[in-house]
Amino acid sequence: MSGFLHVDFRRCTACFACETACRTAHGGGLRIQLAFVDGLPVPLMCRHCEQSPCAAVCPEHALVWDQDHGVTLLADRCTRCGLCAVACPFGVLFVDPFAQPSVIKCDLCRARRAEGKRPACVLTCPTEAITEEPHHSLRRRRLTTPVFPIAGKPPRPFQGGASRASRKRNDMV
Amino acid sequence: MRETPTRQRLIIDFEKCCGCFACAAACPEKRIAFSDQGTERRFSAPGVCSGECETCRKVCPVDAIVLEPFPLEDDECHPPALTWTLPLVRCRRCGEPFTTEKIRRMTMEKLTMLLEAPDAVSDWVPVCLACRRIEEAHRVRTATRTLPDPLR
Repeated sequence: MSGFLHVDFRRCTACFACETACRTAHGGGLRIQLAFVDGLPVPLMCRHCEQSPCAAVCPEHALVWDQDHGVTLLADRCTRCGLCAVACPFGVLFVDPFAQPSVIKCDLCRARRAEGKRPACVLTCPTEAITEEPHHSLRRRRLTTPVFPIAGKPPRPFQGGASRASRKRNDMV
Repeated sequence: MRETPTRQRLIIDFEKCCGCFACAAACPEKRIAFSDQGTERRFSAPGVCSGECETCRKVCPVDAIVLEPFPLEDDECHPPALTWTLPLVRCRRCGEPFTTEKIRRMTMEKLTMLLEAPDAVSDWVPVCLACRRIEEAHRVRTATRTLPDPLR
């Protein structure tokens, strides 16, 4: 299954388990980070923008977007110039001039997925603030449950996809 | 003693150089160095380099590097090592220098052109990465009205 990460930051308890799990899974580097506003946490990672600013500024076209993997780094094209980091609107992409890999950003745990496992942050989050959802259902959720509540209208609950409980039972990988 | 049969002279167009670190990262002999000191980024590179390698010229995103064959015998007029500096730009929010002025301007121009959103682009590029995350956190908390009530 190819899915993107959905973050319900209202469920986040700032336990930093995602940061730790991510670092362990990738062998170092901060690919998910908690940002705080007035003491309230918001987990931030690469959003895999369809019209990606990072991909747009890359002089070597080393960052590409595709439907299954989001914004992906083609390491053999990357020259480590660091322009992508300056272009990222969310400050969640870093370039290390000398280490491997050159670009540090969320890759939706590509390596774990190849082994049939779920992304490390999704699996670790104790309150299920981070979930993995297919591209189309995320898009539908955006349309049915707006982040900004419309006055006088209760938000419609999300209908599609498996329920939280069944998903948890089925794939504890 | 010479390791390589030919040599080449390194010519860098300081006006073109945008201050990224692609050449420094690419050089297999680590002979191009950079460091941020205060409000400028300081680069140093050798005047003459070994013969075959063209890595730095290839990776430079703004084509600021030219390599010219340099005669082996010409030891008397050895070109001096190159050093140049580029001004860094300070984050609009926290005031810390985070990238060069040129990269900021280049990114801004490129994004405006490619993403076709001239009015939306300009707000995050002058802000450093850490402050961008804080601003984003603030945006989502404000949009969902989940900020703590300051009156309570």
